[in-house]
Amino acid sequence: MTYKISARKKEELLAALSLQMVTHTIDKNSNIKAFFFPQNEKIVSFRTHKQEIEVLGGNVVCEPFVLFGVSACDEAAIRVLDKVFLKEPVDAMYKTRREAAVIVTEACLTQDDTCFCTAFGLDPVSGAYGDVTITAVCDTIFWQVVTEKGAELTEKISICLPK
Amino acid sequence: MMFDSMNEKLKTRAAELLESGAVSRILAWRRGLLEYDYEPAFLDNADKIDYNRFCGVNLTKTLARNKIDEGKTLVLARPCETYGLNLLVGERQLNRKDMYIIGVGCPGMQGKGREPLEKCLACTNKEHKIFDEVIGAEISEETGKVNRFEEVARLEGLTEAEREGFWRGHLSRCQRCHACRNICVSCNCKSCVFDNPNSGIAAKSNAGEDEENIYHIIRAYHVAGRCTDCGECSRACPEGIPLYLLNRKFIKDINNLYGEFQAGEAADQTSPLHSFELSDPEPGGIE
Repeated sequence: MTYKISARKKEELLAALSLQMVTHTIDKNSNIKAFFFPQNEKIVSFRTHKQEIEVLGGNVVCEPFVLFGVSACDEAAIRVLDKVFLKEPVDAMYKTRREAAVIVTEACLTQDDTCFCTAFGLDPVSGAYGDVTITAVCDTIFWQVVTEKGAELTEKISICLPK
Repeated sequence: MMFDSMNEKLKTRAAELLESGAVSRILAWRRGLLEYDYEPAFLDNADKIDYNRFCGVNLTKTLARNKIDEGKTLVLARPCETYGLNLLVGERQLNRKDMYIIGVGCPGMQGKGREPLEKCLACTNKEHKIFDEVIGAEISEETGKVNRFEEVARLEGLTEAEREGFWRGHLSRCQRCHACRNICVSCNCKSCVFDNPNSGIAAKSNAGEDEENIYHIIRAYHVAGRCTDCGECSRACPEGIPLYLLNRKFIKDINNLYGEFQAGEAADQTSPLHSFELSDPEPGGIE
């Protein structure tokens, strides 16, 4: 399902997303690694009393969040990481953050000397990646639902999306 | 084109020096993978000299890191490089007789998008401070239009909370890659405190705000009075953190407290932080 939104309404769109969950706008010069691999995190804590150790557990809690404007290459990287970290034995911390993330990819209409997405069979312009794919062309933003998670997010902000 | 004529003269002169045995190699730049990607390189052939707008990287550190025992090295040195060379010669990290320095002119260097490098915008160092000869002394007036203490003064005028917000916004991105330390000419400890596991401040990533802040504060203090303001630390930072502001704040304070001082101005000068004069300010006399 694809929706058309006026580009003038981008701020409204971001505001609607932010009302639902923390929304991070990703620009082309940064990547999304830090959202899945923070520089440091508490893995476990424990309390000692004389000879006894009480392990207090290191459950990672992650509130749902939106990554808005992710490029196809970046999203593809996460899928590669999924193959490692979501495979037995599953990395619980990665899984928690991965499930909390709703990825809104954006068609990439720019090119850099160091780009190589097409060499890996990615279609940066019309590929449908992540949970939702948006394409910003001239005065229009096309909002295309890709996954169920994307459909759920779309439902939550449907007030902003004309039929 | 300024570079064409300079390169011609450099190639001729370098070839003469190589052939006569006066020098054994040339330290200049060589193109890396991409057209805007030049790296320091030891050349064995004068024809390979290719000095252009993308040669932003300062050559001094490369010389310092590669101690070569035999023969002299011909070093191409812009004014900013000469300050670093003086510093290291003065600190006995480099031997003056191991170098034949040709001062080269500089119109200002550019980054990938042909934008002027940050360090060139406030370039005040227009004269070669150490050299054996100079080729292309014409230095453009395009650079140095920005007062290097302007941004520092602006930060000084902020409230503490605003200033903290400014620095947290930048330092939160620090990855502890140590590129700033690695490229810094003043950072030449054989055993760096940040590599010493017993120091308590060695880390491969920052565990929290305190570590993000303290690494840079410590490094700024360690080079205080010796930093030549070459701007390489900021250019090397992959996160675009304006480290030069920390160093310039220190330089500004040192100027105010001890009188104008430029590290690297001469090989035989002493930093005000490494000497004592009766006229030095008393503790408590500093805001």
